[in-house]
Amino acid sequence: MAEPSRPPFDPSTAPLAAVHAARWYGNVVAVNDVTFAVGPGVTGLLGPNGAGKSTLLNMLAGLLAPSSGAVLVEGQPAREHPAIYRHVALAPERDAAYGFLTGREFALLSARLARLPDPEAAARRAIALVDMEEAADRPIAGYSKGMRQRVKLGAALVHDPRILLLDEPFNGMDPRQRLHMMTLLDGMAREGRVILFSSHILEEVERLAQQVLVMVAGRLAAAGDYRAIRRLMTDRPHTFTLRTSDDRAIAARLLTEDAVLGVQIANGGLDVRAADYGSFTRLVARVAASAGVSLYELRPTDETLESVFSYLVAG
Amino acid sequence: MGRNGVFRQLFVLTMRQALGRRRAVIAVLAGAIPVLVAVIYRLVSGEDPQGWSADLLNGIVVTTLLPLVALIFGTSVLGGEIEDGTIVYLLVRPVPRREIVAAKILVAATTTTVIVGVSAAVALLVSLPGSAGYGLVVASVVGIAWGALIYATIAVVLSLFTTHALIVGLIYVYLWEGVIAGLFAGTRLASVHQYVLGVAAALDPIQPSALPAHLSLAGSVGLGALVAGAATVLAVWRLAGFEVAERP
Repeated sequence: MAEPSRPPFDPSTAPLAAVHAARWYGNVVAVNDVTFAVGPGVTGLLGPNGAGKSTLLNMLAGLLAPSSGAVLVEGQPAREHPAIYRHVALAPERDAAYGFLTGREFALLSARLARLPDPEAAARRAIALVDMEEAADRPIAGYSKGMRQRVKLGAALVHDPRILLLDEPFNGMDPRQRLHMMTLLDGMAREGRVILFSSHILEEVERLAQQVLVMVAGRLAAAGDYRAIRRLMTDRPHTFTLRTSDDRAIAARLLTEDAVLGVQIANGGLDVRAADYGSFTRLVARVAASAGVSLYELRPTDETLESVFSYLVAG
Repeated sequence: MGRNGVFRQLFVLTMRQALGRRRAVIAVLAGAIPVLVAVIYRLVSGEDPQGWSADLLNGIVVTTLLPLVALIFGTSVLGGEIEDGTIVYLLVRPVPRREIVAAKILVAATTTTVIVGVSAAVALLVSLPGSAGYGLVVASVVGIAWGALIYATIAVVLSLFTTHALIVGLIYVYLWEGVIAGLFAGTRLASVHQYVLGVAAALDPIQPSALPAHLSLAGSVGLGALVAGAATVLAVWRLAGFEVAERP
């Protein structure tokens, strides 16, 4: 194994940083040698379910110890330094709630535990922030998933934190609530706050984040400007499954095309690896016609987010 | 907002949780048993009230009811929050972990003392009327409060190490204190049961007390404080290094 390299940033000054951070459970690796820094603005932590996003956020929030490496918040590990929670907020993914408290009571409890000088005012502000005034005096046990999600977010923000760690914050919200939350977070980011939120939904990250961290299978697959990574995703090779009247004939013709990287005769079809999406779909109809082969079915095989991510890891 | 503000929040929150759980109903129902037994005794026999009341106190209240109720509350005040994931809402706040642990222990000890103390008081007033009864009520309630605090602390620690804290606690109480302490005199030094009896017997107005105590007042207080203190330190240390479960 190579000597761990120095990170290309100063972890002692970055608001959030991970330096060769890893976490495993027994022999299952959840986060594997991850190094990055996050600055002000909204950063999306994108990846399929089970990629290690929650593990990473929990490590940053001090709720899990890294098995090796370091995770730092404003230059120091959050773990066993509760004072750091005066400026840091975590909204966990897990749908846990004090069902017997009302939304307002939960916000007030959070404000008091945060040792705010005027907890009542802070709780009122938090409830208003997440647009929960109407239901604030009903017990959380009777809330819908979206309402619980919003009250959880409101309570997390009650102390006006500088650094926000949000684990799948939009889960269970309807489109209108989602938009409201995004506008809210966008506004907070413009004020210079550091927001890191996880999501397995590309569109959420696309709409909100300027920077992204892409995680796949515990590894950091890509990090940087969202648009650059998006381009990488669309320009990657694609696989298609074809069903035709003569698989072998069309396979031979396809192999002569530059846009085709490989073909494989599979049971009941033909798998084709193409250089990119657009040019292949235009080309395949032309090739089929000239070969006198009928095209019954043309189907992209790897349009799942997982495959997009795996490509980034392999690349 | 000072230190007491945060502690009070944690105490009130925990009390509402503790009383809202179904386990609380079981504890209250268990508390009715000694009273029923005392009523039956008065109706049926009524002989040797002094000796019988000491047997009731030792045999049913201190040996069985007190550890059961203390474990029911002690393993759920923090264990319940770990199980349902709400513990995170306390951990991501600038609150010293010792305040969380202290609030949890005090709620478990308070609820246990009230339920078991009321149960013992009513049962003793039924079985031992007159001034001897009052004296034993005061002595036993103080002993019960002391035992409730120690058992609750042990239960809170257990809940930080295992999700089966109630089972582990019951095995300790009934195997160690029930069986082994009866066989080997030396193990009585490490028996919460004996700390309770030591305190109650020393405060009993009728001396020598009919309670089978093997430890002095000083021994019961000192050893009990040692156990509770060590368990509290262990609990605070464990909570400070607590890790959330990845998947519920």
